[in-house]
Amino acid sequence: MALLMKNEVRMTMNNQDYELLSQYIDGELDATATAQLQHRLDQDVSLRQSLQAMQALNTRVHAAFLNTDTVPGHIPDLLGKKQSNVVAFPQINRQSGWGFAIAASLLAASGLLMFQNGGQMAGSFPEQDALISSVLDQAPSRGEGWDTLEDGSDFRPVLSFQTVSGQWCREYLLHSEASTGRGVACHTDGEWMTAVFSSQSQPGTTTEYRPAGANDADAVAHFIADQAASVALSASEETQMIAKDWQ
Amino acid sequence: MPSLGDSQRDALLAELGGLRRFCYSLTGNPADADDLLQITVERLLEKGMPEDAHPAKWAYRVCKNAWIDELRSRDVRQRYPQQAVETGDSAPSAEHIANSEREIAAVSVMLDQLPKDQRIALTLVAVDGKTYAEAAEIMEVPIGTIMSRIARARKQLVQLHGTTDEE
Repeated sequence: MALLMKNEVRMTMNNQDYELLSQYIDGELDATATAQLQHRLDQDVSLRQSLQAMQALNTRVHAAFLNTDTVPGHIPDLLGKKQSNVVAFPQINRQSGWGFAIAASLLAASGLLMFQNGGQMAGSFPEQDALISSVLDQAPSRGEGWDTLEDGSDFRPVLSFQTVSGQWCREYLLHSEASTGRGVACHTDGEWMTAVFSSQSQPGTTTEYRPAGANDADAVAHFIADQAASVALSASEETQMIAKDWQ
Repeated sequence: MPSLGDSQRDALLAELGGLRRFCYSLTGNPADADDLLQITVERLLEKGMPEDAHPAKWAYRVCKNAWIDELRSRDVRQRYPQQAVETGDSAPSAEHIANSEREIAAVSVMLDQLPKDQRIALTLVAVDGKTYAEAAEIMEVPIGTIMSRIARARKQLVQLHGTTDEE
């Protein structure tokens, strides 16, 4: 199967296609271009397989370096700053996710599942889950645009994946006036339950999509890296799962 | 003598983790990553940065330039599995460390097949999560150049490694 996919890529793909798919993976396409590409992806097997191959490589490259952000102790000293060895819990609504990297990686490496939103545990977002469930049931992942929830918040599923235990999960962005959050909800007993949620201020415009890990390694990125069994679902695979009610 | 202000030092400190990961993804091994990070910080301390510069983007740019300088001067690129394991601050299992390092080594070998400009662009976006606009600022090239470099990098990796990388 892999050989066939590679041959098909060579036969049908041109440089523009690679640029288009690359922008799609990175969330750099506007809404119109995204919709056009998704339409092509639905029809063009080779294009879809190429996207899967590129996503797989991208996921692999991203995941490989997730926990390589531990800074040797003498380097902060060069800056005249002492860095505590104590891993601090991150702040809610951090202005920048970058300073969180070390703490997140250390916690992830030690097997702890951390939740930025005040340390709440999975299942602690019943109101939020009630709002987002219907969208997660039906809406495909995308890089641009927002669905409006009943409370007026902007919401966007960004990818879907299966966990190592076989559960279906979806990463999403949730945007309100106060902050932008990123989370992963997993399908449990017919309902979507948020497993991890990272509240953060999003740099750039509200229409700007930044892929997982875009604000540096965070709890959501670590959750996905730890739990995902394989690469994210393709558009067609996701469509099939939606049709099957994620069963 | 140029120096960094307190706010710039604070911003740089907050950036160190991401910078270290960037260094690791460029060099492919922890020792070289730490060396490159130290060189980057020393250059920043030595030359300072403009008051209106974005500290993170400036630091990545300095780091990128330091890496290119290092490649030019040494012409040595280590892209092989490291023999020695540096002791980290965390305590993941030995098996986890071994698997992680094998994977980093394998991915580094893949990335080593790319021209350096493509590698930097791909790393900034795919590893560090920078937008194309941010990567363009760091690399001091137009966004379109970033776009084509990343696409060419992925094309080459896909053609070389296809879909056999799923684990």
